[in-house]
Amino acid sequence: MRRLIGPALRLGSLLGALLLLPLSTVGCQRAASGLLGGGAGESTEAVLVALSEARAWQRRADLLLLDGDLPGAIHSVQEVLQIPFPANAPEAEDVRLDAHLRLARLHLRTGGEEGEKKALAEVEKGRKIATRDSFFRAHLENVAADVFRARGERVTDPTEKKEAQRQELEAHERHIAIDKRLLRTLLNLPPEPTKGDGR
Amino acid sequence: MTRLHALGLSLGLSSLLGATGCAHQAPQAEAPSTPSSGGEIATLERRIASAKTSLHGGVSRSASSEAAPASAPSAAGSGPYGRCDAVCQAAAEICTCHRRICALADDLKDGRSADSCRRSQRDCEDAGKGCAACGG
Repeated sequence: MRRLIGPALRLGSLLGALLLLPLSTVGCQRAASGLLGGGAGESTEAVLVALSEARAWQRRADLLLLDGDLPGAIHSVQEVLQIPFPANAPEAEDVRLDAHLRLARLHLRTGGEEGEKKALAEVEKGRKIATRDSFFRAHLENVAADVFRARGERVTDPTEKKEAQRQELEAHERHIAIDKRLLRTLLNLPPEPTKGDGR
Repeated sequence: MTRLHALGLSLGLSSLLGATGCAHQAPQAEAPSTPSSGGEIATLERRIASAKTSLHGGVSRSASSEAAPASAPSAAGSGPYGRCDAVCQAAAEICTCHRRICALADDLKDGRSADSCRRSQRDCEDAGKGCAACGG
């Protein structure tokens, strides 16, 4: 596991540094219009500014959670979905999927059937905006599995319990299917022939 | 943008944004509030307001703006180290899912679940081989 975490942290630090470096100079010069809709340079900077805003909302949610303010944290993460990324910025999808992912987890923490429904609704919103395979997309299925697991533990009716367990298993299967496709891409292998069950 | 570059970008953002997955799903314990959290929230809110101003009507390009995004995909996923890191992350997730699928199959006790358990075991083994062989 150390092999996995170390590089990930370094990547995070690298991207964090890349993000912060340009932002340290943002705000020094004023122009007539905003960054959105500008040329290539403005678009690049707009992505960085948008990423910075997303990170700030997520960090704000972290702090609110530390204070036990779950509704405040949910609201904070919802704000990430309102950030106007430049059109066709590939980063936008990942940032939004990450927000849906976290919202689903936060709703699940509110507990009960209502929390589960809201969590699944966030998962579904994420599925709808995903245009490609990614770890973010795969992790949505992980959250779906968590929701069904919580449902399986909450309900007392044996038939409902079994159904929840079956749905959890299917979510894990979808997660594996996405990770397998990611692996094939990473290993430069051709896509696996599609089978009847989508795996 | 190639599929691999898109994936690399995702991996970098995944690290940056702190996304969690099958292999990292333990819920975070609530920690007591720190006296400085209010101050940090205020700082974050100023940063957010500044970003909103920039995006909607206010800031020109910075001198170093061209330095960042081009570096992100290659740093995150295209190099052998980042690529193998991602391969092994996917393998770890597949194996975590496999263990849970087989635990569920033990409860469900039906043919479909048993098949799923066997398939996921093969997937875990194959993914583990891919991780072990990567970069070697």
